[in-house]
Amino acid sequence: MSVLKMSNIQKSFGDNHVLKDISFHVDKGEVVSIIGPSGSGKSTLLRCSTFLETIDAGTITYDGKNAAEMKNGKCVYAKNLNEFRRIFGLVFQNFNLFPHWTVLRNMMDAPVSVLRRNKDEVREECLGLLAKMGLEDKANAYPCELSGGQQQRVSIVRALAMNPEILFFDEPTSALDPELTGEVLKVIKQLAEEKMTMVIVTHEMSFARAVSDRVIFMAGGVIVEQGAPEDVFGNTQSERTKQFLQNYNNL
Amino acid sequence: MTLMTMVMKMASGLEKTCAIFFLTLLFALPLGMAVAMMRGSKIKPVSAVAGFLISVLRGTPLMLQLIAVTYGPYYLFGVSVSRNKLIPVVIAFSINYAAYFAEIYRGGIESMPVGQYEAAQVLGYSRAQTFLKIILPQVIRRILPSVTNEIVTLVKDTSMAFTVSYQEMFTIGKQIANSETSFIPFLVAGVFYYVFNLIVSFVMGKVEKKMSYYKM
Ligand SMILES: Nc1ncnc2c1ncn2[C@@H]1O[C@H](COP(=O)(O)OP(=O)(O)OP(=O)(O)O)[C@@H](O)[C@H]1O
Ligand SMILES: [Mg+2]
Repeated sequence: MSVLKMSNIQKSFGDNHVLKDISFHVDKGEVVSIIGPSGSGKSTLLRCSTFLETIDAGTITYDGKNAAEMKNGKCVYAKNLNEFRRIFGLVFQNFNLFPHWTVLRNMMDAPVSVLRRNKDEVREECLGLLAKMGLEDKANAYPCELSGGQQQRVSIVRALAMNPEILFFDEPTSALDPELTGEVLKVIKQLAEEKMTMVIVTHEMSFARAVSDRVIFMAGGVIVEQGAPEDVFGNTQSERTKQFLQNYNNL
Repeated sequence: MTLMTMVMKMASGLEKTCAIFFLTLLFALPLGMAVAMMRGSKIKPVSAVAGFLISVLRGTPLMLQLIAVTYGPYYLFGVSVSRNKLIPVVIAFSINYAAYFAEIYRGGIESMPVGQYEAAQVLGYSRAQTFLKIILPQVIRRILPSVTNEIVTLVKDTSMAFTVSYQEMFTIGKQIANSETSFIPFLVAGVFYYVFNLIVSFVMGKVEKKMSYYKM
């Protein structure tokens, strides 16, 4: 069964029709990359999946349950959205860590005060996650004391501490100095190997190619092409995709 | 009257000066938050009323507000002016300062990056949790310098209570200055306020330092 299914998603900002009938699904253990030119609606799509934006029309289904669906021609959201929020995590481009909390508090607070889990148990788990990421010595550091790459890794473990079924990334390395992107991509790769279900919006083409099970190319608010990375990158069908990838290679 | 007697007499009013000061902070700091919330409310009339109140309170002299609160009930309803003027004085100071604090809070809340709210929302925090645990602590840190400014002003503004003859330090000093035709009480008052504010700056400096364990 698909963890996430989005069907016929429509989203406009005023007159700007950003998502035009987008449908896709993500299966358990699958890594899906979304690529496409700037302004094509990639972030908007992730923000709709994570309820940061409300869709105008369409269906959002998590684990077979509808979070948003059409009723009498109108899009209606479920009342218990917070229960759906437990299913996913989101990693932001600019981390959005809570600067007044230590790394450990950033990770522990939501599991304890939102999921009402046992504090000691959560602490054990979080320290384990930090160790796995090579950040065990940063548990008591504040975000401002970390490099960008470390901050992004912390924001990934903050999301993981909630034990999400699916993790969304919106350009996780775009805010980083080039020499720091590697450490973050390595972490995501490691998660992919552990069969974490992930949707990654990225401009790192070689990374998308290496890590994904499926690549979605978006342009102008529609999915132009999708398929296995070998096909999308190696045996490109659409002219629009070819043009985009070519521009990329010329950069 | 010797200098010593003057100082002692004026010092006896310091208790009342401190009462205005601390009670005003006690009421105005939370009241300001309530007004800031109203001002930022999505319900238009609520926000408009709050905006109007703030603009009147900031746009008219504190002195007028003191007179209005102290003597207004007498002129409007024939209620006799209460013997204990501390109550109207503290009410006037509290609503006046609440208006200033409200604007400071609002500025602080609006300066918070939207990403903080979004991160909290995705993690499943309720709106109340988000505000109390994530937004407010950072807002306090951000606005502390402006709040300190207001507190320093409040120390000096307590002298306004002389307009309704509330017997705080400055009012006593002014009376001595009149009866003795002497300038000395004003110098003494100046020294009192200056020392008071040295203490305020010291304490607020400590608080700010304590809160700056992280960079924003
Ligand atoms: N909150 C908003 N209000 C109005 N317009 C918006 C908003 N968010 C996005 N848009 C518009 O929607 C369109 C798609 O933006 P989006 O951020 O989804 O693109 P993107 O594919 O993520 O681009 P990039 O690669 O630059 O991140 C753009 O035209 C943008 O201006
Ligand atoms: Mg984007």
